[in-house]
Formats: sequence, C-alpha cells, structure tokens
Amino acid sequence: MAKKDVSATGKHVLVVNDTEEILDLFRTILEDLGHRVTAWSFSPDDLSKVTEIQPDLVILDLLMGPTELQGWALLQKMRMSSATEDIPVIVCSAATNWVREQEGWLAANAVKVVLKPFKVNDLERAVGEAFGLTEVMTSSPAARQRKGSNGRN
Amino acid sequence: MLSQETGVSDKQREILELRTIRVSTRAALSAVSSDEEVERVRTMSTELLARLESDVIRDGADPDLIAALEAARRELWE
Repeated sequence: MAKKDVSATGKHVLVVNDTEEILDLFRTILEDLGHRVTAWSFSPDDLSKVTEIQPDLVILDLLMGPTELQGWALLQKMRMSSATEDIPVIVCSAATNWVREQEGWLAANAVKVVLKPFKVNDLERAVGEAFGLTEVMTSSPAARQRKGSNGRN
Repeated sequence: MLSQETGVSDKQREILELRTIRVSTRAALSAVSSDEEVERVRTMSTELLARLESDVIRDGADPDLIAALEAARRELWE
C-alpha cells in the first residue's frame, strides 16, 4: 500500500494489547501514517519498558488480561511516574460505561479514547489529536495540577 | 480511483476499513458481557458496515468486497 510522505511527522508509537490481530491492525494503520510501531502484550514490567523506550505515543487496551485491569493499572502508573506522565495515551476500549465513569480522570490526564468497534479514521483522528495535545499537556492547568499533586513542578 | 492525499486506491482503503471494523468488533464482543453492551457493539458495527457498503457501491460494487461485507454482518450474530 502506498504511504503518505510523513518523513517530517513520523513518530514512535507503542501499542500494548493482548490480541495479536489488533496489534497487526494497529501496525498496518500506524505504519501507513508513517509512524514507527512497537507492539507488545502486557507484562508485569510494562512501566519500566515504557520508561526505557520513551515512545511518542502509547495506545493501550483497558480491559484485557487475566485480571482485566492491566491496561488501567499501566495507565495510572504512567501518569504517576515523572518519566512517563507526559507521554500521550490513547485508550482503546469496548467498555462504554467504564469510559463514562472515568471521563473526568481521562480528560484531566489528556487521555484520548477510541471506542470499539471503530473505523480507520477514528484511530487516525485520535492519533493526530494526541500528538497535537503534547504541548497542551505540559502547560495545561490539569498538567500543572498533576505535577503539583505529585510533589513536582 | 486514487485518493489525492495518500495515493492509496479506494479498494485498498475499503479493504483496510472492513478489516478494521471486523477486528475491532470481534475484540469488542469478546470484551463485553452485558446484553446492553453486546447490543451497542452490534448496532455500532452494523452502522459502520452500512456506511462502508455505501462507499463500496459508489465505487463500483466490487463483488469480493460486497461478499466480505455480508460475511462481516453474519459474524455479528455468530
């Protein structure tokens, strides 16, 4: 498939998901957009791996794995770590009720949501918006409040 | 026909679109448990497939794609 000329915009995107066909799909869509993709399944040392590779964006599923909470746990740990708190995150979820309940927290932490099922444009738009949010995240009142509440400035 | 922005043919784009809807629908159905959520996923997927079908018909109604769309609809109820 022909690719857009994105040499100036290509980013490193980390996709965390336990479903192989979802990982393959995200890789296709994101590489079509010119981004470099790292894809992996959940593991207990996810946070240290995210810290190590410092992706420009993380896309993760919120309901999966044996406890069905690994994505949520990773997201919270990322936002509590100074090394990862400003990395844009997109959560991909089928749990509309859960998303509704967490709407405030997700917005305050600049987390974009793509509800399943979705179409290509939904993901492309969320990725574009997530990258556009990077500067806002580091200077917004919510970001400053997060840093303040973590004891950092 | 080629998209001016990407150079990707409409058919290639529609194939990717169909794959995206099918894969994300399967993932969604395996992740939800309540009747309400299952119904929401089926309704949303049906709408996405209908919109894609309109595009496919507009672009010449490729028989392979039409058949794949039908298969995707059946999958929703399996």
